[in-house]
Amino acid sequence: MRRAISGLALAVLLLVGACSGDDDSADPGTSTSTTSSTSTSVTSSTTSSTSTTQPPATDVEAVTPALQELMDRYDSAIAAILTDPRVASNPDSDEVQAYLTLFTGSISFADGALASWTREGEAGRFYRPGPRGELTNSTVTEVTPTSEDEASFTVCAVNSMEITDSAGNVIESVGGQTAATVVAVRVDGVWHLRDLTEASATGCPERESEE
Amino acid sequence: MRACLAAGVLIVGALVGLANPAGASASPGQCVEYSPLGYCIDWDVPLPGGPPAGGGGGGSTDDIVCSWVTIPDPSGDDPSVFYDFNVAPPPADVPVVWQALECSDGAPSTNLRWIVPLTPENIASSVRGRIVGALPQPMINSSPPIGTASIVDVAVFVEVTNWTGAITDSECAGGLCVTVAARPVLTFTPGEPGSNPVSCAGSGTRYEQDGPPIEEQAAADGACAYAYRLRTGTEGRPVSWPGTASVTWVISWTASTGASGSLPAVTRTTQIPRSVREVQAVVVGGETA
Repeated sequence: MRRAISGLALAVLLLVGACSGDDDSADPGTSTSTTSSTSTSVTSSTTSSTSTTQPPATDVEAVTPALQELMDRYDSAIAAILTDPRVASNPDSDEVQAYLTLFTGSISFADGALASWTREGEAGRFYRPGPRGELTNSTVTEVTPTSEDEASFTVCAVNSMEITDSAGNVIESVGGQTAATVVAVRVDGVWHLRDLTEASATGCPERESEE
Repeated sequence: MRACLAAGVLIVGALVGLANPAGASASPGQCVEYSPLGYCIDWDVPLPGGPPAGGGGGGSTDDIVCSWVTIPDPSGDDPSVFYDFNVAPPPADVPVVWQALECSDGAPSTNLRWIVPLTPENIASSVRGRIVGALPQPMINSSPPIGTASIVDVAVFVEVTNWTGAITDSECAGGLCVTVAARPVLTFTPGEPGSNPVSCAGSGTRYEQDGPPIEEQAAADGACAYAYRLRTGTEGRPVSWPGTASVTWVISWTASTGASGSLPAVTRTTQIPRSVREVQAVVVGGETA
């Protein structure tokens, strides 16, 4: 089935593959930038235990690792919640706290996601990693600065999940690749998530199952 | 590398309508539907270049809608799909439905899944698991008290103190609602050679000191009582008979379609070992002298 991948996507994959060896070109101009800066309404940061100011979005090369680290923590946080999504209803749980600290002070987006996971748990749907060994693994593929303190970027996530009922029976197995457009904001020098919107994975590079 | 990546993405973005990052600063409004990964798949006010409304994932413009489409089992022709898509093989002997996430832009599917079809039995099984996980271990009160020897031919009474009665739980999915009921049935097994399990009514029987004679209470219909006949601790016998009180939860389900069925029962057992002694006594009015 995967072999039926279209020539268009294949062309992109080849393009990505052909470019994999020239990381020494660090031209920030390769990232799309917008000319109009939008002010964010973020008023407070969640816990920030570091005094180090993370790079501005306009320095794409420097900020990308910070955003990747943010997404790595995101992957871990949601994997912990999805193990038993009922935990999402407990705001004091470690799992929920780990998730919420990834977001800005305005966390209605995160609250909505937690409510969604709570419903999953109530429906008796529990997630565990599929044959790939990890539920999801996100890669930041493109960073677009909106201002120094706001960036939009695309993540491509390789997923491998099994969903069980409350008796432990596997009722679904899903895998493949998804993508999201993510907006992050820098508050008090630290990058946080604002929202994540599912996007087409067409532009994502093809990933091998084993990395 | 980044230059090429950006160029590649931009090319594809131009061709298939990848989200315009310039819209990132727009107010995101309120997300009304999330994917399992916590991505918003439906905003109350669609963003320019935003996600598909009510799509179910995968699209990137208002014109692109993605949905799971049932496909023939792809593993028959190409077992590598399990590897390619990081999907586990389905359980043996379980019918599943294969689906691919297909989008209206015609892009090749990047997601594959199989699901166990939604049936009342499947939903009931899920609810059963939830109920079973919450079933309590029976806590026992007995007369004479646990740890106190009973007397030959004098009835022992057993009751469950944390009796819940029937437990019900429901779940609705895909327009189908199923209610599962677990009804407890108490059985007292004396453990004495030659004895039969005693089927008890309700939560069992508490001996009423001021009630009818003990023999009468023990003989009542459904009484959870048994008079041991063999003393313990003599040669060839244990220090106590391995009595038990078991609550068996009989589980059944009914669906909103009118269908119904049963599910495997679950038993919770508490040990109530009983030593028995023999006394030469005259029994008067239900009390030992």
